Amino acid sequence: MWPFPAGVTPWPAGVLAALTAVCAALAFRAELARDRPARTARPAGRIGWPVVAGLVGTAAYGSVPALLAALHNSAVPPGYVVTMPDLEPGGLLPAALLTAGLLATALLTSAPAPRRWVLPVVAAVTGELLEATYWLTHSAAVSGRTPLNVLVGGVSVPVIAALAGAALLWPATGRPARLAGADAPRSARWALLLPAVVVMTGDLFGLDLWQSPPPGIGIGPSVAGHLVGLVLLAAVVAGLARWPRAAADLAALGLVGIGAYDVAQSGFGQYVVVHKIGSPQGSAPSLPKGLAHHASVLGGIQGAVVLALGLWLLTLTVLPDARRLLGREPDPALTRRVRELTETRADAVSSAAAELRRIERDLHDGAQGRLVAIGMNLRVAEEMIHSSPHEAAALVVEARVASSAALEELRGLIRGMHPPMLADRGLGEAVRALALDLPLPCETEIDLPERLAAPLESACYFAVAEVVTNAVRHASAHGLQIRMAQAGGLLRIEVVDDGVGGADPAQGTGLAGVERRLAAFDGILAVSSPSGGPTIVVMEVPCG
Amino acid sequence: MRVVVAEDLFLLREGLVRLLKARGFEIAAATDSAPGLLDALLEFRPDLAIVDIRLPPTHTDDGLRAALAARERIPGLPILLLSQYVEQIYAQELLADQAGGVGYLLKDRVFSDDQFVDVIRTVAAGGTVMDPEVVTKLLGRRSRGEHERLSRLTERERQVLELMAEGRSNSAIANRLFISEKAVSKHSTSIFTKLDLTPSDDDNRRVLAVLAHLMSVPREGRTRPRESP
Repeated sequence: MWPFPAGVTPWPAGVLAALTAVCAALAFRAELARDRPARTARPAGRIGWPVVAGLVGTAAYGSVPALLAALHNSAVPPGYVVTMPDLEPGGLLPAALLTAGLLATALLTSAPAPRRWVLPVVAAVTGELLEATYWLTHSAAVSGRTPLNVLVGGVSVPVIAALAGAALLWPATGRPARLAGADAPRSARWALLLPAVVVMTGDLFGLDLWQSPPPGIGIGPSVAGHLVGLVLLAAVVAGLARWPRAAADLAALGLVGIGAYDVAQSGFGQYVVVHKIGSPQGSAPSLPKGLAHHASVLGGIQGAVVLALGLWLLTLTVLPDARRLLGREPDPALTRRVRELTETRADAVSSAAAELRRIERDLHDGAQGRLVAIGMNLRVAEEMIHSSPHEAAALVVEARVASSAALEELRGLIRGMHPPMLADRGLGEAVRALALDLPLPCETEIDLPERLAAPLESACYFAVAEVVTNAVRHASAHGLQIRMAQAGGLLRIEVVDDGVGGADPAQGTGLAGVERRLAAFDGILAVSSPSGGPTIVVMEVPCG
Repeated sequence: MRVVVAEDLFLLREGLVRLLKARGFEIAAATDSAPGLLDALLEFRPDLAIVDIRLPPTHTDDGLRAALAARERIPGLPILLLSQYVEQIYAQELLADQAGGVGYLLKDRVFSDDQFVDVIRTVAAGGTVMDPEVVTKLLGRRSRGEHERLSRLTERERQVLELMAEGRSNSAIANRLFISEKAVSKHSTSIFTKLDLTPSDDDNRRVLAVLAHLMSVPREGRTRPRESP
C-alpha cells in the first residue's frame, strides 16, 4: 500500500529496519555517555580523491537508468506502477548530497566549521533544484504528475534554503563545537553524510518524499509526505549540530543498510518491478528487457560501492566504540585522563615543593633572623642591666621593636599560605575580605550555599587573588567585579575589570599559574581581554 | 575593674593575667575556649571582656561569635578583641550595633602596656577603639566619590581623622600630634563639615560616627547578603 512500494521484498526491509534501529540506539547511547573518547585522526586524512571520484561516478552512472525508468513511466497505463529502489528521480537528491558531503570532507578539511557547512547546504539546495527542474520538464509527460506536485517541489526549494540559512548561522555561535568537544569538526565532517543517508533510507522504505501518488489516491498523502520530509531534514540539521558523532555513526550504518539492500534487491533480480495498483486498465506494461537487466546490474554495482563505503566508515565510527565497550582496547578517554592526572599531579607536587621552599626562605631571612637578633639583644641587655641600665633598656626596646617586625612578617607569610579569613569563614567571606582590602572599588556577588573542601577553597582563593592582583597591578583598572556562584556541581568565578585589557595567559606566568593551580582540580580558566578592555576572567571548577 | 580573659595560648593568657593584675585589674575569670567564655561572661558580668577571636572548639572565629552572643544577652557589655590579624569584616560585625564599648586590636599592641591599659579603660567606659591597621585599611579603600571626599581633607586633618577613628580622645590626639586641644577640636569640626557628618562633643559618639561613615560609605563593594540556606 502506498506510500510503501509493493516491490520491496519484506524480509530484507525488516532486517534492515531492525539493524538500523539497534545501531541508532547504540550510537546515541554512546554519544550521550560522559567523556566519550575522541575518535582517531585517521579517517579525515585517508578520505581522498579516489573515493570521491568513485562516488561521483557511481552517482552519475546510477542516475542514467533512473532517468530511463522515469521516462518509461510515461508509457505505464493507469493502475500499474514501476518502482526501482533509490534509482528513481528522487535518487538524484541523495546522490548529490552524498557527493557534496564527501567533497566537503575531502576539500575543506582546514576550513573553519561554519564554512564547512556551506557545501552540503548548497548540495541540498541543488538537489532540490534538480528535483524541481525534473518535475517541471517532465510533468506533462509523466503520468500522475500534477501541477500541484510541481508546486510542492518548487516551494520546498526556498524552505530548504531557509533551513540551510539557519544551519549556517547556528554553528557560527560555536555551540556545536562546544557540545562535541575538541573533535567536533572532525565528527561534523562525517555527519555531513547524514542527509544523504536519511533521504536514501527514505527511498529504501518507499518514503520517497517527492514521489507522486499512484493515480486515484490524490495528492494529500504526497503533501503530507513532503512535510514529513521537511521535518526529517530539520531533524537532520539539528542532529548534525548537536550530535555530530551519533550522526556520523548513523551515516555509516545507513550506508551499510542501503548498500546491502541494493545488492540484495539486484541479486533477486527485482531491481525494476511492475506492480498492479487498484483495478488496472489495459495490459501490464512490458519493460524493455535491456532496461531491467541493465538497471539490476547497475543497482548491484552501486549497492556494492555504497556497502563498501559504509563498511569502511563503520570501522572508523561504530566499531572502535564497540571494541572499547567489549574491553578489547584501552579506552582513549581513560588513557587521556591518566595522562592529565599524571601531569597535574606532578604540577601540584612541584608547586607545593616550590611553595615550601619559598616559605622556608622567607622564614629564614625574616622572622628567624629577627628572633636571633632579639635573643642576642636580650643576652647583651641581661649582662648590661646592672652596669649600664640605660643602654640595656634601649636594647630591650630594640628587641621589642624587632619582635613586632617579626610578627608583622609572620602575619604576611601566613596570609600568603592560608589567609585566616579563609580558615575562619570559608571562600566567600575570604574573597569578600580580599575585595575590602583592595585599593580599588570592588563589587562582589557571592552565592555559595555551603563551604567547599579545604584544598579547593584554597586553590580558588589564590586563583582569585592572583587574577585580582593582576588587574590592580597591570590593568590600570578603576573598578572590579567578582562574581561567584555554585550551580550544578560547578563553581563559577568571574572577575571583571574595566582596565586596559590585553591580558594573555600565554605570556607571563600569572594566569598560566592560575590555570595550573585550577587544573589540579579539573578546573579551567578562560580569559577575554581585548586591547582596550574590559578583561573578563572566568574560572570553573567542579565542586561536590 | 573586673575583667574576663579568653585566650587559648597558655603563655599569652598567663601573660595577660599577670599584666592586668599588676595594673590593678581584677580577673574574674580566665578561660581558654568559646563556650567557657560565654559561660563566664553570663555568670560574672564583668566590666570588660578581653577575647581572642580564634578560640576552641573550632579554632576559627568562635571567640568573636561568643562575645557577640554575650553582648546580645547583656547589651553594651564592653568587649576588646585581640587577634593576630585584623579583618574589616570582623570590625564591621563588632561595630554593627553602634552601641560602643568595643575594641579591636592586634595582639602586638599588648607590648606597649601603657597604651594597652588606656585602651582597656576607654572600652570599659563605653568607648570605641580600633587598631591603627583597621583604620589604615578603611582610609585606604573605596569608591571614587568617597576617595574625593577624603582627599578634600588636609594632611593634618587626615592625621586627626586617623587618630579619631582609632578611638583617641581630643587630649590624646593633641598630645600625639604636639598641638593644642583647641586646634584638635578645630580640625575635627572641619573634618565633620567636609565629610557631611553631624559634629558631636562626645568622644565616643564622634568615633562611632567616623567609623560608621568610613564603613557605610555607599561603595561599589557591597556584598549581596547571602540567603540563609
